[in-house]
Amino acid sequence: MNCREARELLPWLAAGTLPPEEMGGLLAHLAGCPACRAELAQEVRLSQEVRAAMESLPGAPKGTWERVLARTRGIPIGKLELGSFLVGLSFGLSLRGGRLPLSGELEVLGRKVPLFEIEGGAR
Amino acid sequence: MADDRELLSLVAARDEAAFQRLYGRYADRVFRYVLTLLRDHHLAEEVVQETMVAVWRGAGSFKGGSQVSTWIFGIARNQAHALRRREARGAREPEEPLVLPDPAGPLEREGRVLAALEGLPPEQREVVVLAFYEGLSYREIAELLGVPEGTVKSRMYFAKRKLREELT
Repeated sequence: MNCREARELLPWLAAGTLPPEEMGGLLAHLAGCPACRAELAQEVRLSQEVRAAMESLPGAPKGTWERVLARTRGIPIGKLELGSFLVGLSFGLSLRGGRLPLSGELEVLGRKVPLFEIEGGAR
Repeated sequence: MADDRELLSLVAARDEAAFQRLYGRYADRVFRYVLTLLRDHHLAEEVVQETMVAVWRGAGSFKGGSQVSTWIFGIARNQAHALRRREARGAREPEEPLVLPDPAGPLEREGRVLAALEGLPPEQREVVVLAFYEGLSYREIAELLGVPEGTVKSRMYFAKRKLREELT
């Protein structure tokens, strides 16, 4: 491997995503090339700076999760629950994107297991 | 701790707690990635919503041929491009620059890096963000962008050269 080939791979080594099969040749080159080792140090610094800069940007706004959830659950229309606090069955009907999906859940000791969801009831 | 594939298979079985954990892992990352594409906080949030709803609906169809992260960023990228086309028809300008207003103190360096990132051509900026922030390999980025691996390496080469010029 020459310096040009090595430098093409250095950013990916710095990012920690270099494929294992390319690692050996690159490390062998770096062992004997001080210039490429210095280049790697700069690559590592740049990758850390980009990561820190991106982390300084705001994340997804508060309330986004609730909006996602509302869209995946739909607007509840009705729910039928059967059973006790140990074991229960529930069936829910909701309005979601113009459809009326019917879903069923089994609840055992507080742990909910989805049973089915039928995307029925077109607009 | 469950890995992404395990979480996604739980999401496919309609496990809401797993979906929330997956959301927690990706929402901010997708938001920031899309922010670098669209430079609009409202649109970026819309893309996060669309992406996560698509993950919920499409989890069962994930074939496992790629990393979950590549799949999710691919959905986000498609949604961002669709929104960009929609906004272009409405002739709306990007809302804000990437750089935070009046960066000071410990944020000064981050502000300079963000300004340098913003100065890159979009296709180079995207490779840098996906590689250094999202942690995708050049193969995953090539798959995500639909370009040859050599193109990804070349974009990275020119991007880092320009970044270093700007930051030194």
